[in-house]
Amino acid sequence: MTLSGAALLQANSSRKWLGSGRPLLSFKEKWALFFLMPFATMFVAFVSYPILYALFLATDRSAYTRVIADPIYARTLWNTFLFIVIGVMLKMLLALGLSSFFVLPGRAIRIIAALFILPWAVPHIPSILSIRWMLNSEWGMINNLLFQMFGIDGPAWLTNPSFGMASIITVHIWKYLPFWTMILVAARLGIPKELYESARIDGAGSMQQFRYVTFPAIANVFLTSTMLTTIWSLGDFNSIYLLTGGGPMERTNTLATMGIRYAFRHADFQAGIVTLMSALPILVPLVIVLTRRLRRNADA
Amino acid sequence: MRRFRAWLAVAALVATTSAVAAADLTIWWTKGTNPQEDDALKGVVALWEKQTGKTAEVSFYTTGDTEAKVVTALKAGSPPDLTFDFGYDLAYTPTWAYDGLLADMSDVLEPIADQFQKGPLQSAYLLNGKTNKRAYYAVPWVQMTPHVHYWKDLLEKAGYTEADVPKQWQPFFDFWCEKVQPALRAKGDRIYGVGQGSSTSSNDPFFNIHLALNAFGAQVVNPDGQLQISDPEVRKRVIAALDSYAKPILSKCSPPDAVNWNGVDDNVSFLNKKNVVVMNPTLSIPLSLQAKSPDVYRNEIRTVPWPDGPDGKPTPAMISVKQVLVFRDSPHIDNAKSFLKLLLQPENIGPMLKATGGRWMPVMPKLIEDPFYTQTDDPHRAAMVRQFTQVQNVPYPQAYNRLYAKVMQEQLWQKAIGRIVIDGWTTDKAVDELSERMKVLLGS
Repeated sequence: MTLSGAALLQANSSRKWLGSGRPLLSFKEKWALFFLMPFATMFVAFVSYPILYALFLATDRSAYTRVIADPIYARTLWNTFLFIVIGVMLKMLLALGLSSFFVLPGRAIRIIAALFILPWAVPHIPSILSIRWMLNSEWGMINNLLFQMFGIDGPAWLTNPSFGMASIITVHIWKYLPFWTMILVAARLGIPKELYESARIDGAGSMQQFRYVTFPAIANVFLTSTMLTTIWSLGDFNSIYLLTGGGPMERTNTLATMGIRYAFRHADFQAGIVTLMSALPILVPLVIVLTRRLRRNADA
Repeated sequence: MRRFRAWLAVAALVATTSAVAAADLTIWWTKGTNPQEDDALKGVVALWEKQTGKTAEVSFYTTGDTEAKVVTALKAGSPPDLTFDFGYDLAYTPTWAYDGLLADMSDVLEPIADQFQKGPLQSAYLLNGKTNKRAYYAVPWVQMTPHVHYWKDLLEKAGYTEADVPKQWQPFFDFWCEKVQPALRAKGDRIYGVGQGSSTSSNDPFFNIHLALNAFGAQVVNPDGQLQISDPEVRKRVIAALDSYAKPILSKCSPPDAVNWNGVDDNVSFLNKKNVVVMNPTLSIPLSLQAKSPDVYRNEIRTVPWPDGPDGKPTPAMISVKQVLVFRDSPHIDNAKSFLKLLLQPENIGPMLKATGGRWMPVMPKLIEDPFYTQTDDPHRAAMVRQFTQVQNVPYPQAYNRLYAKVMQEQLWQKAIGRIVIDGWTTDKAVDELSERMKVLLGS
């Protein structure tokens, strides 16, 4: 026999309030609580407490003055904006386009897909460091080839601030594009083939099929992925730190690297937290929208 | 709160703090440029362990990393027992002493004070703002000054001889940029004339920029500790010095990555023959070749005096006295003092400095009088000794005003060079920004 939610609630409340003589928690509930305790302890120790402490540090008003007065801060905000807007937008549009290719049938496509996913699959540090060496303007492969072929020095890929940011964004896209492409490929493979057959019978061309069948079917996944990657990109420390270290002369920092720089280079944890908090106006609305969207999807 | 801070330190420094708990003495030391340097310290540590029956844990970090780790550990209230880094005397020691963070080392130094040179000893006699008294809050153990090196074989490949190298400041730097670099490139070698760093992630540019400032007679802090960068004459000289420093970078005579070089990148670039001339503190560059390429060490790399200043006078040697620090909160202060007493005995520190190949100049006259320094036929060591003994020795401005340490912490001079070479500012405008920030930091 199963009890409805209301009946279960009533049974529990009568057990609590009417003094039935039964223990407050059943044997099974006690075991459940026992197994829950390690997770709850870890959550409090490593999630709740650090977050609360970070919020406490962020109440230091002088830290805001220090951060805002730092000439690097305005540049950092601009870099973060560029990194997020260009990096995320380009990455997701490319992922959308490439997913059209990777849903095609054939062994060759599967082999290309396996190669394509490699940048995402290999560990961050060696892959980004190898690119750093390749782009090194003194003895990197690219500039050496340019000198040998054309007798020119080639650009300062990582030590000119504009080229540096462009390199960072490019590497970020290179690194994470395969993952999001495969997410969209998976979403596309879930679209019933009958929908395309009907569209073709109705005379729809490729673009119309994409516009009226494909995109509406994967729109939720695409938007959710875009929001997720925006949140993750805001915290992307590796791509910047491993490639330029925030240099030259702090010109390619984003909020993530600048926050770490304050906290661990200058031992100014308050300024570090305040810097990272600067991302909240973007982060909080995104999380709210994302949560609502996921809940709506679950309800549907 | 304290407990959480300690936890933060544990999270950041897991490996080292586990050692802290286990050992009777924890040492965080800056890694040498060759294994012999590290081995020399390990030798003294082993001797201390043998004599005391206690255990010591030595952790080596790269330049800059030691500073960053100590700064973080201090904040967390868990510093090591003893530490050394190149930047302490310039960026931190005076401030930490004033803030009462350093342990008093008077009982280590006073009994042997007569064994030290006066200047290096005075560099450690610092004011504690909490007690309003001076005491020895650091232990001086070596001194250094920036040197100039060049590749003789590359100079000859470019079609010039050593006699062709100008002795005056601007002609010297222009020679490498306007004659040697084009000549090498015409032969198909992608080599830069002057390896001149300017990044904010290395202390080397701070040393070299100050040497240039001195060559131009730009004394931004006078011996009374007064900031005088706004004095029209000083300002004019500062601008001239920065113009000179930025010139090789702007004229693409310096490797483009030099604006983002870390501490050892100048060594690496020069040793890979990517530039012909380099300026670098200590003799770390030639010494890294001494054992494996003795012929290159003796015959291909040259260590030469700095070119004369624009006024025709010899450029003063800027001396930085390197210090070992112990903190008030260090867990084993007595053990740290006992180790330092052992380290500073001439029979220990003398061989230890020799083992480094003479990279540093000792701070004890008895050691300097050793034939190893005075009667050497080693071209690089002899050049170093000449630099210490034959030209005027001047300290960095921190010696006159402890607040100047903040100028180094914020790397203001490198940022000014960045304004000129990256943002395209005029030198006047960059100096204006620099002056304003310096006035705030020095409270004048």
